[in-house]
Amino acid sequence: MTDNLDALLDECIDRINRGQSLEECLARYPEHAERLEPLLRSILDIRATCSPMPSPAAKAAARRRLDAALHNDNLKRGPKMHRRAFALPFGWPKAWVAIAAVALLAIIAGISSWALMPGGTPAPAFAQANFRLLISDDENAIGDFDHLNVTITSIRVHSASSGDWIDLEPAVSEVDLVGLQGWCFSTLSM
Amino acid sequence: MPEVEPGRSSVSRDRGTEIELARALLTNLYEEYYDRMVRYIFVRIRDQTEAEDLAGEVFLKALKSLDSYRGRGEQMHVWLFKIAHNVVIDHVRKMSKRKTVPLNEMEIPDRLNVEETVETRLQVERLSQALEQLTPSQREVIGLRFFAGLSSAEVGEISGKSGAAVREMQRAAIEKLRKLIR
Repeated sequence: MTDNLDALLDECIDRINRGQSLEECLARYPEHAERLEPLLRSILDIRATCSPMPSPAAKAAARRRLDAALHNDNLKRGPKMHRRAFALPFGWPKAWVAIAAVALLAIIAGISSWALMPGGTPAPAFAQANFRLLISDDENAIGDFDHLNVTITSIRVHSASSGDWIDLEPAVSEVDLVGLQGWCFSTLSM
Repeated sequence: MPEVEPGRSSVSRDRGTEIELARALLTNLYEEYYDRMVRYIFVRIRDQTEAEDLAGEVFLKALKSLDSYRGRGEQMHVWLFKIAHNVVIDHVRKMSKRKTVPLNEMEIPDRLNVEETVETRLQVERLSQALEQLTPSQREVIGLRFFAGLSSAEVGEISGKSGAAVREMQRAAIEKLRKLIR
């Protein structure tokens, strides 16, 4: 029973970390709700109270230090290393390339997943800034899938500076989106 | 779930390219993980200002160590939290040599009035003391699981424990916390 509780609790925590409410989570396990609820409520209370909001000034200062270190690192590696490292015919920022690749992979994956939605009309939405890929207008619907396999057939990135499109060969052709929820999503960019 | 191997893409054919991509990913992850990193470190050391400094240090250390980041079988955010884990251990070791006491320092939002601020501070103090009663390993699990939002498998990877051990430890930690704050 303890093993079972460990596993159920773990699953509930995953769901809560993905944005589900305590009530939604407990509704999935009504027969265990009585045991799960006080545990989950305790930890949610602690998280709500003891989660500091980092000061914007400290965050910005840390970002400046990271940018400065990146800049110094660039200088150390030298221009030759740079050209070899990113064998693309543009002078566009490398971070942008990764961002574009991730965003495009998301869009391709999202479009491919339409056909796999169980019932209802899917309403995919994309927010490029945070690379969120929503596969349904039902919150956390991905939790309803055991697998959500998509096929990535092509990747195109658009250069803002030259206006050209570049075709890239996908490193991964088959992806199970169930394993790429939340921050795991960034896996695709590598 | 296919294994995603860096270096197999047509974009990243050599080690230099892998490092460049890793650098780009690191800067992207900064935006997503800095706050969580601060919260995780705060749970371990209970000093927000120090947690903010150390979180910045984690990203700088990661940048310096990118050459050793292979990526295979390990996602970068998990690698970052492994660095954070070591940074916290070093910090705690340094602090224990200086014989300082935990500060329980957390900034309370300005929008609260005096009464609310006092109430919140007391609540933070009470819950922080409960967290303090956990073993370091239990605090690690709680910090990574609830404040950093990692999965139990990822927590196991960072702490060198099996998934089952992490799940058992998190349940025991939560039960203990519940008794302490009741």
